Amino acid sequence: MGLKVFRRIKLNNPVMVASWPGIGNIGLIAIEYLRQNTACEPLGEIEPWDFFYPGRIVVKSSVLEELQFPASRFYLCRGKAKDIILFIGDEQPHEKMARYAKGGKAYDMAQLVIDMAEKFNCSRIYTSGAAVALLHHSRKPRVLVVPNTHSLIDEIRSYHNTTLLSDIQGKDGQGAISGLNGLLLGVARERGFDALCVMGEIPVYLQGMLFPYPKASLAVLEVLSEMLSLDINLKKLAVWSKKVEQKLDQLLEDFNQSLPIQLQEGVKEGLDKLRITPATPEQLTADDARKAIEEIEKFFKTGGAGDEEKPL
Amino acid sequence: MKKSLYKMLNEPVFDNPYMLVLWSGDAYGLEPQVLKYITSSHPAEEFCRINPSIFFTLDGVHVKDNIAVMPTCSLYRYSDRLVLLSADSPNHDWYRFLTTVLEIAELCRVKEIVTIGTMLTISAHTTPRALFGIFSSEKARKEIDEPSLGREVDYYTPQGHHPSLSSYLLWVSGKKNINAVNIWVSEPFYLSGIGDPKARKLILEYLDRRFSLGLDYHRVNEEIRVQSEKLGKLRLRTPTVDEYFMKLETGLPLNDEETLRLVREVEELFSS
Repeated sequence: MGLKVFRRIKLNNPVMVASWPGIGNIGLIAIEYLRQNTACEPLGEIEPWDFFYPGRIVVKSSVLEELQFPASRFYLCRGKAKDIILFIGDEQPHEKMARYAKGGKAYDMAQLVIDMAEKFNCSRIYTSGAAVALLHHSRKPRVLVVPNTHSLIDEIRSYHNTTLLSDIQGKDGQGAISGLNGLLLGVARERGFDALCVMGEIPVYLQGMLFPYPKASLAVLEVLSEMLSLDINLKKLAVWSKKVEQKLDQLLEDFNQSLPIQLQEGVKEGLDKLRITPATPEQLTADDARKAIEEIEKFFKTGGAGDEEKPL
Repeated sequence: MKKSLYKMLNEPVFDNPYMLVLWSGDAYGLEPQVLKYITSSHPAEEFCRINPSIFFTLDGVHVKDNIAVMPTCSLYRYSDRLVLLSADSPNHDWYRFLTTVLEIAELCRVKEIVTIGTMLTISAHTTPRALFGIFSSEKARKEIDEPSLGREVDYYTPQGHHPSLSSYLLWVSGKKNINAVNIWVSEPFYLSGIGDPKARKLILEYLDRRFSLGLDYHRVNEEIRVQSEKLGKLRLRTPTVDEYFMKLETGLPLNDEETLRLVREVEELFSS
């Protein structure tokens, strides 16, 4: 079980930003965008074979040339104020066919990621994922931030468009973050690192979908840019986000048209209630709204039932 | 309490043996049938057991042929030149499992690892079967000098599929510099659910030739005769099926509907 570091170099006030796949791949898209739009270089990797079954073989002239595994890679991104180590996991290690990491394998992988942060003296660790919310896809997602220490609360409040669990009605600061994007916070705390998870809101009816939700990734990157003093051009992500939003409008319209006429008005009304800012659970207690969400979720839900960040 | 990965039941003597790996969960039934065939007239002695609690989800037992069974994970001495591994495919920690197998192989000074498998083809049962080898390295390809093996296979795992455990073992063997080869035998697609004794015989002949097993082919020949006779009668009494067989014999493909109909007809024939 190993961590491979490609280069030993001195970094300038480094932090680590990590993400694994999850609902809408919100965190992963944000971090991957950061990687692609800054001058990043490979810095290390976690050897995959203790965590994953291989995904592909390549045979040429009857010789096994290659066995490909999901990758877990570190990149170095040099910033003006601080250097950033990005960690991108292609998959969460899982057992017993679960969708997200849990148990010993997840804990072992989290430890290796923290080992890397320790080797390069990172002062803080950020993870990123999704927060399922009572939200319409036309609305700008808020960014829910969960730290692993009280000392970060005031700082989190100072950033734009961020919210804490205690700000959400009915939550009283309680919740859970499933999978490695959450577990890493706990392991970081065990090892003495400050860490926080930055989660973009995704509409509740899209949580089971298998396609990405870049609008939340955009919101996450805006917050991360402010937190890390990054100057990054988010235009491409904004364009993609708009396209997905238009596609969702069309899909929902098609879906509503496919319903019996007596249900169409109720579903439309339910969705319209989600357009109101801010949405609260009370606004969705009406039967028509609840039914609308259930129906839409069913319509989009083509994948497994496992969830990742589900703090709400 | 630290669990040991395996337990040696005795200390058998080998003379630079081969290791034949037979997974018991093979989807097309080839490996368990080959194991049964080669051990029926020449029992093999179990000498090592891999600890199932490390690699299997032991949340109950499976029942096979009315009997509750634990996952199989044992090594046997067949002769001083042949080690047999009979194992179910682990539920997790596959890499650790395979490195454990190779650790035992090194203890026994195994010089080559052989696995077998089935390659379904769009061909007729009257077409001769063929053997293909996939090697762990270029070195293994050169050193395993077997003219009966096809050696020009290009392949990659299709989308939505995963490599077999045999392929994974091949890769781990390559990393440890142990020669390994996967032997694949072709089998007409419509025999996958009922078994193909012709394919099995070809594999048995290959293993017999390489490992001097001294097999008696009477039983498998009888199975071939019975199966051929039944399929011959089917094509006589069902002109559509005869037409499908003729298409396949001349290298023509079947459409989806024809494929399903042929599979159904053949499976019904052998279930009755």
